[in-house]
Amino acid sequence: MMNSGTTLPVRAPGADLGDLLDVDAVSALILAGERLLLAGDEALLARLPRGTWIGGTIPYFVAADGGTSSRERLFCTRLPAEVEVDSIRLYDAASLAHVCADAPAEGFSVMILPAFSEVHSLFARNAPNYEDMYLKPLIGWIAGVHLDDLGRATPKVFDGSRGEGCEERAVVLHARLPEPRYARIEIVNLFRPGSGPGLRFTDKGFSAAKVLVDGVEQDFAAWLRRQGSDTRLPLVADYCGAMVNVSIKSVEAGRVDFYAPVFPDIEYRIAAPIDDYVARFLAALPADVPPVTFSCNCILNYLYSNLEGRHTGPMRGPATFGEIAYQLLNQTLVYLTIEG
Amino acid sequence: MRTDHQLLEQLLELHEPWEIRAVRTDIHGRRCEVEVGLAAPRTWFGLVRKPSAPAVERGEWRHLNLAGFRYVVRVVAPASVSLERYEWTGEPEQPFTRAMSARLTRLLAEGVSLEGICRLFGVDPGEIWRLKRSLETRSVRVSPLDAAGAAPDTGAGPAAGAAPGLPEADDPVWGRLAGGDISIDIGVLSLKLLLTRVRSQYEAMPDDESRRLKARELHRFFVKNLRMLGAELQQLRASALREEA
Repeated sequence: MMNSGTTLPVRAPGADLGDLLDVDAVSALILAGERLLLAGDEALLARLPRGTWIGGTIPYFVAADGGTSSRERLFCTRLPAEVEVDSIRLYDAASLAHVCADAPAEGFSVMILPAFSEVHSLFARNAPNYEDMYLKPLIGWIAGVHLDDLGRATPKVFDGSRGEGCEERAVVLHARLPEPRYARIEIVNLFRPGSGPGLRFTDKGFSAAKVLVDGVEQDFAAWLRRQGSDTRLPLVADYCGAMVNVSIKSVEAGRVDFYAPVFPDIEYRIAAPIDDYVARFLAALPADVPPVTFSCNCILNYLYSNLEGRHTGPMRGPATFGEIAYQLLNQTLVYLTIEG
Repeated sequence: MRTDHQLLEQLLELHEPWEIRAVRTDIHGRRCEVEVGLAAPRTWFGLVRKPSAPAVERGEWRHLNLAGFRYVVRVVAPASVSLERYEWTGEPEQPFTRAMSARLTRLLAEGVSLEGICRLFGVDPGEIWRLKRSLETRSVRVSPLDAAGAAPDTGAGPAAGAAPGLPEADDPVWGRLAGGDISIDIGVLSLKLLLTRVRSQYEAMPDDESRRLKARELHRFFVKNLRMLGAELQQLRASALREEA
């Protein structure tokens, strides 16, 4: 399968599948028929040959050598041999709601959405109500840009099978698994609700002017300032035991913006502070987790917890503008394992 | 006006990014024409993106009656947008939306007379014949929703139907789980997220039938994902047994 002249990392049985590679090594893998999930700089992704791969733009990674930023290398996740790629599709605003219905009955789907696009916004607000949502495993991430390029560059996703890059559509790789194998998606979120009051919002959305604090309506921005809240801490909601974050983007007079939508039927609390993210993260990893097929973490965890140069164990992958474990998440590590 | 549109969007089961652009109502004729299109893309934090492709007229179809009014849906959207999965659109050259075609097909299959159907829906007999002819030549696909109405809910994939020890779909344990009367320790992310959604909707359901359907979503999830739900199933069975005792 492999080009004998190219130096490629060895994949030991049970070893994690992802790491940083230069564009020539990734090209060789594609030409050798490997099925890849890629993350990296737009110029690198655009140079790759056609093949069975999807990708998205982001220059931040948590790799084998720890957290790093690179415009010269791509984070490359190879799908295990037992995975059969069913299809690679691009979804626009009108077709996005069918993403789970289109997935094979037995398998999983990997989705990459360009940040700030309409499909990003639609998915964030409506994914929980998509047909077959939660029935079929859906994992992925939000493509972004180098923080120095915010406002100048546009996040993109790539469909390697067509050699096409998109700013306004989502790319999805639908995969099948042989019986009795099945895919499982889990998260590691260190944030827990703090001891403050319960917060509710009257409307679904990425920003809020008002909040109900223990049932009493308040100006949310003013309330946050009065509390002296650290806005690096997300709002956290308890979804039957799963802690789901909504990160705060900015606080302006009369308005608070979020990186994911708040929902009116959910109660949130400001998260309790975390002293040492890496130490707590390593302690929080499940001891018996099978080899990780894919994972990604949040750019905000990368930044706020100073992950550059620091190791987070077996969980490697891009540090993204949002994580998808069925629905859009913030400040959370998501990972996929194949079990059974 | 926007509130009226939102109510009508709910009745027609239109979801984002689709929206009602215009409504023309003929009170005396008991007829309502609805123009549906894609909503303008929302910008994120003031970032401007490329405009979408130009919208063109895609078709006009007779839809189901609502509140005694005959509804016609006209769709305006870019030519590249596929409409074939929306119940409120129809096949090209056909007079009815997919939802309406499915309803009429079902009535025809059940032996309701052509005259009766025409009186019931206020449709032209010629259009029913067009539908029948299309069905005979299979140029119209019957709505999957219609099929779902008659088929048992068995879930999807090889696990469907093979669920030893799983309470039946009509077991009250599913309703109690959906309603929050049963609390179980859940170790699987997808079930945590699904149960949160189901519980928030279950409380707002207007009647027992709607709540029963909502509870069946949980049964379907267990059938589909039984292999990773051993601990959760054990707790459910124990709860069902306690209820029986």
